[in-house]
Amino acid sequence: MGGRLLKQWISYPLLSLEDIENRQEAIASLVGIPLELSAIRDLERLMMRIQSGYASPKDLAGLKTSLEPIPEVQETLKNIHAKLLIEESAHLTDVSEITQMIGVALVDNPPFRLSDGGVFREGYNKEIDELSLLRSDSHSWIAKYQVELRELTQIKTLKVGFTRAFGYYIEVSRGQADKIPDSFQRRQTLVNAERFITPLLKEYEYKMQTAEQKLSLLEAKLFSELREKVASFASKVLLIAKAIAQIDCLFSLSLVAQKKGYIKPEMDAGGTIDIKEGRHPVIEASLLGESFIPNDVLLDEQSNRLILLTGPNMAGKSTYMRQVALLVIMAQIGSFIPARTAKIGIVDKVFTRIGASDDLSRGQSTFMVEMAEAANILHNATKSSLIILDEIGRGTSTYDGIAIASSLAEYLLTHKEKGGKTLFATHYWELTELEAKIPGAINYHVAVHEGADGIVFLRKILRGSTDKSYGIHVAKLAGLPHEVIRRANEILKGLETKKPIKPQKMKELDLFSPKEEIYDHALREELKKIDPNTLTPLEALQKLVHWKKNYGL
Amino acid sequence: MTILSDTKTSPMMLQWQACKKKAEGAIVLFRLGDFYEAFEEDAVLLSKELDLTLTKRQETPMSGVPAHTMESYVDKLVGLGHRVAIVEQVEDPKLVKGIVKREIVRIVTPGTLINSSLLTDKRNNFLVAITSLNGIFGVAILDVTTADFKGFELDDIKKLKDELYRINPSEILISKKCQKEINLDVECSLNVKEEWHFDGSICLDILLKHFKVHNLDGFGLKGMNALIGAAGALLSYVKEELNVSADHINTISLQENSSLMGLSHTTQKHLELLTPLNNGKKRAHASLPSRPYQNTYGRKTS
Repeated sequence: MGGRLLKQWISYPLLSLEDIENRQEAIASLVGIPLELSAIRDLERLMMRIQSGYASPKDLAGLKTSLEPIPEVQETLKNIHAKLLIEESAHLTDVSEITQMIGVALVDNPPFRLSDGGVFREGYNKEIDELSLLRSDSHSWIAKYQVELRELTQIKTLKVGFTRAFGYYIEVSRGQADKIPDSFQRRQTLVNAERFITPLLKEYEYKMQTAEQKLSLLEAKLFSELREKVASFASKVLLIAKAIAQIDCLFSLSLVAQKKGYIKPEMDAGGTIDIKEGRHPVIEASLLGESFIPNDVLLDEQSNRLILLTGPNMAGKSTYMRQVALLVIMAQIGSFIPARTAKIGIVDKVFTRIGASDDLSRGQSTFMVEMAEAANILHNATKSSLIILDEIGRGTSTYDGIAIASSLAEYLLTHKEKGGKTLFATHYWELTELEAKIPGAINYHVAVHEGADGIVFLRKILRGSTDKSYGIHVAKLAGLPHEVIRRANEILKGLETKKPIKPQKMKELDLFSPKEEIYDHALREELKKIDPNTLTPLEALQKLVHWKKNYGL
Repeated sequence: MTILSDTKTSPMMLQWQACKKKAEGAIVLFRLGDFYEAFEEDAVLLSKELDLTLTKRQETPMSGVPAHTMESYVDKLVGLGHRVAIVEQVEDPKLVKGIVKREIVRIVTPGTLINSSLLTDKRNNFLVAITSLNGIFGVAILDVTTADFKGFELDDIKKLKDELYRINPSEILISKKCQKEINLDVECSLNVKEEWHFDGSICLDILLKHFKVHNLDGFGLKGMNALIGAAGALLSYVKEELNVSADHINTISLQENSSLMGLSHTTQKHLELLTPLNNGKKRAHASLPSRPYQNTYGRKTS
């Protein structure tokens, strides 16, 4: 029950400050309180089976053991004054009537099936007691009768027994069969034995059969009566179930908060998210022994609207951004969060665009999926939304990617009613220039330590930008052959010195200047390369045609 | 003689045919003494899905499962996405002469499991019905096992799909017209139903009768005709078509989506809030905080 409710809570984080604070208050008040809920089973489903007639004896017994700890839970909660818990414990009404009713009727550990017998407690019903006594007595009756018959017939190996198919019988071996009195009736012949029956045994058999039948009919009747009586308490039990589920969830959240040192975030309706030393709840839990590097985040509706996060692959950009989203969602569930301090303005929606996933079954490429998701964000985000964009535009060529990414960032920054607080990770360092151009954008990067034998990711998010992507380092870590790594380094050096893509030159190639300027720059670069002394007239003409065509002149 | 036996169908097979016709689209498990048997195409399917021997009874393909282990086979079939109709002997064979009367006692579908190993404490098993009325979508949600019955209306296809992802139903009923509009493509069992199942006045009547009330204002459903259509269709599907007891469902509530945080389908997926992306290998966030405290938190979420 609590598990189902917790899933609901996670799926539906709250927007109302009051609701969130009520849960926070309840969680805080449960710290250090010993609550024992483990004996309580799935009351909702138990009750449903009881109501609809599917319940087994075990289910009824289960209801009893589940309801027994309720008074104790209520007693424990008596001294707690959190609003939610006062409300919920009011639903924990007296259930002794139900537990007694079941306790009197059923044995402590009844079988699964009613037909297995032995469901009812001794003393509950006189007739049942008598009938089951008859059944348990049958062994001694048979033993007694066997002794009598042995004496009568002087056959030492005579046996009295019972099979389901043939009922009661007297068995003697074939060689002894002639010693049997005539009054015995032959019932069955086996390979080396004969089976007989006597009128007395026949009478006993009939008595037993009717007793069995009576017993099972009676048990069925009594059980369904009991079930119906219990079912009449359904609404009461279901209210208890709902209350226990709530208490269960709140208690679980308070336990996690205690054991992991979570803090209560300060919630408000303002637009600021200010988390100091936040940690990723899941990764932290999976790092056994290692410590998770905490990070701060500051987003608001003024000068910190869009965090541009640069840094090499694998450095922890995605983890950081997911962490922020998760902490905000956890906070709005009402849970405590892993951080030193946190002040969180309530967010109306959370959007994410993370990772690449092809949707082959629907025939969509990675890039198509990425763009469709980005489009959805731009259409539906509001000023109060939290948006996570991870390496948007990487599914296409570099220039396309830079262009799309930067135009997206610009849009989010300039359309204040649309663009919420945004975390924007990219490895296009060119985008970091936005900070200087549009107020609201702010650069952060992931710290990397460059040592003698390569790089170490410090997993710390710092102000400012970075201009290296360390792709080859990551490739090396991933185990690409040395030869490939060496050659990649060579090619990189070549690219950095020869082509206009090299970083220093790119500074001049300003992304945000008009098209003409970019063309002018490119044209000048090409002119520089030309040596008129070695150029043939035909080549010169071809160059002219080429330029006119390429630069739209 | 031979001609006669070829054309004459036995009374039992006539019974079977009647049941098969009633339970359209379901595998019929037909009680015969200590076994539940399937015939014809059902038998072929059953033997394939459950790896059972396919035999013949007077030239009719037949395969079956023992009565006392029937539940686990039904679970397997439903888990594979089939619907299973269970036909019981409704008379005591000792007391009747000739053929015992048999009836469908219930139809088991993924969204309406009751006593099944497929149900886990930690997950709701939701059955959802969707219809549209003048551009408004009505969505009704029911967990038969917990009597959790609720619904909402909205007017945006994208949001509808986000919400459906959040609900994570096991089975969906959708009106034909509505399916044409939104072209739902889901992994769970999808039943496209004729429009009349969702008819406003019929459905209102179904709900009023079921809850024994004069109007639905008390539930906050006043004038929400799309939702009423979906809820009514859902309830009559469970009660009439599947023969599942619904007496314990005694309220329906309105889910106020505007008071809840918006989490798009992709956000829920990317943040792995409830289910891990690479299924099975990694644990979802919902379950992770419990790891070191299995006894307390893990149990609590039971």
